[in-house]
Amino acid sequence: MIITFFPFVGSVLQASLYIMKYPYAELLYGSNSAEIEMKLCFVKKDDTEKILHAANVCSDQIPELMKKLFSNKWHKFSKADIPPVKYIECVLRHSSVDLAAFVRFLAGCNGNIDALYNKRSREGKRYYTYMREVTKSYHSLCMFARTEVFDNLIISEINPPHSISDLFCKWLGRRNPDLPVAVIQNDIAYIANGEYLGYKHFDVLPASEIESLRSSKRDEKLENLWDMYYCTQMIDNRRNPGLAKKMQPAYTSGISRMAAKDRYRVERGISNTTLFDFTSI
Amino acid sequence: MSERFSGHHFSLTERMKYLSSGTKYDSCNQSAICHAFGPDGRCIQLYKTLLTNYCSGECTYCPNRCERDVTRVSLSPDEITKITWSFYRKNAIEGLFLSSGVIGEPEITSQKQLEVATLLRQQGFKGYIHLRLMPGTPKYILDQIAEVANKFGVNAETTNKSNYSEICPNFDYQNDVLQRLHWTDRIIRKKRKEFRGTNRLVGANDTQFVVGAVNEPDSEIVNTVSEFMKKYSLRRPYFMSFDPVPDTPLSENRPSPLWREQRLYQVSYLLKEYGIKADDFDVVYDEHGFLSNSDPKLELAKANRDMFPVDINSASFSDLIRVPGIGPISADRILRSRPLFEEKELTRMGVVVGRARPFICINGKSQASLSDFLEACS
Repeated sequence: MIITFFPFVGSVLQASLYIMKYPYAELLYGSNSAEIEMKLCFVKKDDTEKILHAANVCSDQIPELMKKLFSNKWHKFSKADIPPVKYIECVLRHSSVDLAAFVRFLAGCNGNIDALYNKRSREGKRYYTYMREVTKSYHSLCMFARTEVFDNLIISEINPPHSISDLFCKWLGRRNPDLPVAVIQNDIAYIANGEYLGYKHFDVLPASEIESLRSSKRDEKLENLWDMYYCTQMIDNRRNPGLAKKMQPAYTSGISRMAAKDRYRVERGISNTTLFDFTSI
Repeated sequence: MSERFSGHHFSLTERMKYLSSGTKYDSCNQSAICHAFGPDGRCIQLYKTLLTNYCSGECTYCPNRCERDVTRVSLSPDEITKITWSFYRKNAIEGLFLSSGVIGEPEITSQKQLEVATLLRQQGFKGYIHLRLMPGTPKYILDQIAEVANKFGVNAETTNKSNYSEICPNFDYQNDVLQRLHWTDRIIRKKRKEFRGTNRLVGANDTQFVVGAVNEPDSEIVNTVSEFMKKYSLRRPYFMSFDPVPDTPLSENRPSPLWREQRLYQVSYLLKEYGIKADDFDVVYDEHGFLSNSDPKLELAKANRDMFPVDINSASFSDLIRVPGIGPISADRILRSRPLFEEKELTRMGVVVGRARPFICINGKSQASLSDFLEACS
């Protein structure tokens, strides 16, 4: 038997329930039906082999699936860490996750929701770490990614290690509800508030389509203004490089150019000496 | 040397530089996303600026007092709005913190501050707005500000009338500060009732104290904060360490140690989030009423040894949060996850076990104290 599923929470939960019922079934996933069909051509032994498809469900039905998988106590841990549904979503977004193994792990929890969090098993520890890495990566983006502001569009170019660009795009869209927002990752552009440009509210497009909408060049003046503002907020006699480096770790400088400049000043401090000081001697 | 008298025209960048420097000591962060950290480790989350550093006040500690010879500049409401929008769109800030020197009458200054906040909201600004208002702001302006600002208030600066008249001779503590805090509280309560269940914005009350400008002890500051929380529903007090400014009457005074500000913040959180009463801290002050440079919660626990160890599996919420290393969130998690058998489980719930260990008992086991050991030996 082959169980097929999509990398979405509802589908993964459904697949976990199926695998509990048919533990020896083979797991196969794809981002869409065409990909699954293509993979099935390679995997299927003959036409008589049974195929069970774990379809994705709408968000309203997810609590019901969680209840089936983890009993009534599934939401108990929502206060101690991020809620279990969010946990699963984060793990699915991790770049190193093996989805089939994760489905088997969920089924292997035997209804014990604590197994997701308590890090007692090697798998449990790994997925917990994945969840934390994805959450951290998303928060870092929200903190340190900067945008380019055009007359009719806000663009942010990012390259996160996990698939969180859509989340970041939606977050930027909520922050700026009056402008379309595009988040570009390699050759894909995620659009929020797309109705202003004639697209859906949230859409995924080829990046080239967005490139043509850029109306002007980067606003260097604004970046200089920020640099100046940043320097005014420093209190000389309170310099604390240890704390500053902890708060803005080195990896954040890869997120945006402005964050890189801020990070440089965290590392080196802000010099009080200017060219003017030399010329005025 | 003022802009007016020197005849020099300051560019926007220059004016911004002077006015933003004027707010670098102000603490005003909200609990949201930080977008940058300064080399001092402090979070840069808001665009902090003064509307102007022209001031008719003669506050003895202030670098902008009217008699001081400093470069005086202003930003127009339009300019502040534009800068705030630009930084916000750039994802570099979460909102605006706006303070000001007093331009002639407090009413005019507050009106300008209101103009900035209103302009931003009218343009659809969804970010955070924090206004630090002038002593003596009229009631009708407070009423309008409550609808556009997330947080606003008048600085109390110190703990009582005589201290206040010493450092802010132009203003009256009772009328210009306390009366305004009272009005703010009433306006906010009224608006909360009116807008219950809707998404309308209603601001919250805040104030700031200058720590160490006059010789008020920490006990007095803590009691005042507690009183303000009860009387005026103060959401959050801010503390600013006194640093002597050249050419001011207090220039010869000693600066307040920075840790004092930090300890006062810790006490204010204990008052607000932990429900600990101001009187409870009487045991942790020294003979002059000052806090020592150590965690006030730890000092409080040490002074009340008879309350500990508390049993993690049976203690109430109020007993749990008195344990150093356990905060309201982790106490709540403990209550929800009982029974607990290992310290590891506590770590996962956010408890700082290293600090909590001497004060807790888990699964019938607790760390032996030296006095217990000596007792057993004898």
